[in-house]
Amino acid sequence: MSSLLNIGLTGLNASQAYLNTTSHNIANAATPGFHRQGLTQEARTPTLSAGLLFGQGTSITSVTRSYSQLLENQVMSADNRRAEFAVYNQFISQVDNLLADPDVGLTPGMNNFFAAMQSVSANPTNIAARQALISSAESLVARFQSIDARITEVGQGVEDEITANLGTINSYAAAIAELNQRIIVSQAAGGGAAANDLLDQRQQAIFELNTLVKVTALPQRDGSMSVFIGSGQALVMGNRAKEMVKTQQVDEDGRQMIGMRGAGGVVTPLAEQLITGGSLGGLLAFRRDGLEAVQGSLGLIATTLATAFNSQHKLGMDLNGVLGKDFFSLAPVVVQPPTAASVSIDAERLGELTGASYSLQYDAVTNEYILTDLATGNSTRPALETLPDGSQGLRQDGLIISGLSLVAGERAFLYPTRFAAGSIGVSADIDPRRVAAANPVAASIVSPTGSSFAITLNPLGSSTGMSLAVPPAITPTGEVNFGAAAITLTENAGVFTLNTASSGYSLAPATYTPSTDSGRTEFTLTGPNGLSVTFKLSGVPAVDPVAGSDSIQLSPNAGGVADNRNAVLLGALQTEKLLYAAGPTGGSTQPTATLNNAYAQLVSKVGNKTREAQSGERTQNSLFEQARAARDSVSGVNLDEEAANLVRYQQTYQAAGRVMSVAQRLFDELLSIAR
Amino acid sequence: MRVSTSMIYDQGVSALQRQSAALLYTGQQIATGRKILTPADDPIASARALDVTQSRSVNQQFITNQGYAEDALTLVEGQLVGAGEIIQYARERVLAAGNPALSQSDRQSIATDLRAQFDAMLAIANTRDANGDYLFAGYKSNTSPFAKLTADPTNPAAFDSVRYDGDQGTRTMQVSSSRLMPVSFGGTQVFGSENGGVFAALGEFINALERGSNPGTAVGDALDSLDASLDRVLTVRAQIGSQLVEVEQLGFIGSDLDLQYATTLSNLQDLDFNEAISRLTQQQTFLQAAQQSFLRITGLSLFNYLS
Repeated sequence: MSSLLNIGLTGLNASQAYLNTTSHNIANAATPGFHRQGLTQEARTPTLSAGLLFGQGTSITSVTRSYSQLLENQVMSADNRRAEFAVYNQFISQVDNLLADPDVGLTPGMNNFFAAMQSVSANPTNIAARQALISSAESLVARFQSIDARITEVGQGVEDEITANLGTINSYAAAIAELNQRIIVSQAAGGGAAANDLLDQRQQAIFELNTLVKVTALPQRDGSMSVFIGSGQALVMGNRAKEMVKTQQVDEDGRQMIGMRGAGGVVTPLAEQLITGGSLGGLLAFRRDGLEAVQGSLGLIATTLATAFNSQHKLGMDLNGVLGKDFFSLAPVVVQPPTAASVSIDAERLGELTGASYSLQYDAVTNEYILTDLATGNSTRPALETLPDGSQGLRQDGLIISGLSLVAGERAFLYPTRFAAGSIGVSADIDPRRVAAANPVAASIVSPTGSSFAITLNPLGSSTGMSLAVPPAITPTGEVNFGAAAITLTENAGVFTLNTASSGYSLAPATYTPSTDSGRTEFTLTGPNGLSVTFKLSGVPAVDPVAGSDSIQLSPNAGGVADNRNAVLLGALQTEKLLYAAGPTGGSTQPTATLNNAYAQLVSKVGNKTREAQSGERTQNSLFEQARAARDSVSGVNLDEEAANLVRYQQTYQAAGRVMSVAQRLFDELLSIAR
Repeated sequence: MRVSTSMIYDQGVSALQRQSAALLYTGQQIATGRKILTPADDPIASARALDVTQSRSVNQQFITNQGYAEDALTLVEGQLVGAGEIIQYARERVLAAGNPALSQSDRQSIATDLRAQFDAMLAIANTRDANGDYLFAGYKSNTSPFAKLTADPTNPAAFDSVRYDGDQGTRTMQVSSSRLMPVSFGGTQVFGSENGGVFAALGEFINALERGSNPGTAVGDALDSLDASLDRVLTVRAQIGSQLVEVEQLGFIGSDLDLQYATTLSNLQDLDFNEAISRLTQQQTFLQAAQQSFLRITGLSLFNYLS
């Protein structure tokens, strides 16, 4: 009788346990990281009575959770990649959107600027056209600056996000350490039974941490979980967590390093390539090959425009009769530390400029300098050579590096273009009269008889020696004043000898044969102070001592206000290939892209990267969903199933209760017999 | 496969989100009329569109320059027609002055007439354009190119002439990618050499008539000189004429090109509305179906039947 009551009681208890578990499952159906719980049940050990083994009811032996480490790992791996792509996409999309609108990008600004240049070329004396050129230049540089400012802002957002991510990582690490402690204690107290809900909480914390940065979790014998990042850098060990912080240290690529602060407060820097995956990995990757590359390329376009335009502008002459000055202003190349070297843009090899940032080191063994592209890691060892200014230095990748003061082991960082788009401006020297539309040299043929003899001046290669301020007190600085060179002609059997009557001038070649030289041969007039002018001759000169012989006159183009020769050359820069020189290594290289081509390449590069990030995010998202479905299929709560269980265990409860009431009645029967 | 309740919700929601995103994207395309919303949609076409935009802008600039060139050439042409007529008329008067039967007063009146022609010619040579620039001064467009030199009356050998203060510069205009067209002509090219050209010849003849001498051989010299001047004027006019034809043809090519660039740009960037609206309708249907099935599926629960 008592055994019947006991058996009924075990059934009642078991049913209640099932109902509890079912309710727990229902209550936690939407709890993140919750794994469906179940019970293990077995029949109790039978007792021997009258030589027979009688069952003793049932018992619940443990509370289990439906958990598969393999499925959890798959979810974590997909989620980690998904988070990395998502954050990369989130930031590069901002840059992509910035370049998206054809009316806001650089192209309209560039087109307006060169259209204004063409207007000056068509109306060189028109002050309004010159003013329009300056205004459109100002709006072009404003466009460079605003795009750069927006990219810098995105960069600032990345830095803030990195800091925020590190904070969140630290709070999860601390939570995991604490849960480790609680799990150790509670499992010890529970005689080794699994603390399912705490395990779920810890698993969820690791899962969230893994969304931020790729982690490896290794279970320990005492029930705690050790968490590592990168190649085995421990973040959580038992109940101790380290902190991830931004350090003041700079890595070999010049970027601020992230480190780990241990128990003693000692910060150990981590190499950036160790921090992969998750949103932190995505942020670092975007900073490295998204943000910096875009800023470098945009700066490259700004630097090339300013340098090429300035070089040509300085070969011209303005309305005041003064040689052109810099039209655009550009901040000097940023060198870190600034004392290591001084770097300038090599205007003669402008096409070789790359838009990259570099590190520079000195190799004392070979007495060479090592220039390393920070983005690709490719390094070169350019030979020391004599620079145009006479000092010793390096000429590499469109840069002139002088004033080198690096010692062995020291490292300097060069940022030739990264900050250029933010610093380009219209030079303060420029006003409408100072747009140098004219060529400083006037060439003419003095022909008393009106012969067919003609001269064509080549575009100037240099304005050296053009502005001889003689005497300096009278002539304003830069006024074109190189004297005048008259070239007279003498004939001998169809060969004309060119004689420079003016002292200090010489000519090469010195003879002109119309049949072979006309319109073909290039003559160079060299004058005092490095003056050099090249020209071609055509037609047959008249040499007639009676009526008067032809002569060539090369003189400063004083009063030549309607001359647009330099304006034409300035306007042609729009369609001239100026960037991305390609050619045999060490040989002569040819630029392959116009300014607009380079911008289009930048847009296409950002577009491709964004597309890549979008499709990566989509792929990882669908992998994540698949993995999550597989996991939830095992671990998730199904409310219908739980409803069925409710009904089922309600019935077993009722049945067990009935067993007890039967036992009660039997007992009453027995008592009534005894009465 | 076992299904958990969260799977029903998670998968339903992500399906709804995917469909909403697609619908939103199509909606944005239709609202902007653009096929490519950001470079990521089609990086190659985006880059190409920028290149074509520049080519189109450059071409439009050439078309503007063709207008400038045509205006400048037409202005010069008009002046040269006047100059040619003056030379023709002066030629007739010089020829008339050679008639030995003329009296001194007849010759004097021809001299007065020719002096008026000299001044008219000088006025043409010193014409300015709308910007106030001297047409025939070369690059020195702020300088009056021809200065009159009046002869010293006490010197019987002296005669009226001019001094050229301009230069030989020729202004050019970029009218196509490969053509720099000259649009101005130096004074010496039109009116003769540095020594005064047609002005010197005319001045010498006038002075001779005014001094009362019988022109005699001077008539022949003056005629030669005037003929040479007329030749120069006609040569320049012929050049202008052919350049005007060239500008006109370049204009046709330019507007053709503009149309081609516009078509290319439209193909690269513009939305096919028929396709987009049909896609929008389709996506809308899918989204509605997804919404309805989501509600149906999540509405099913065994708990509904437990009382």
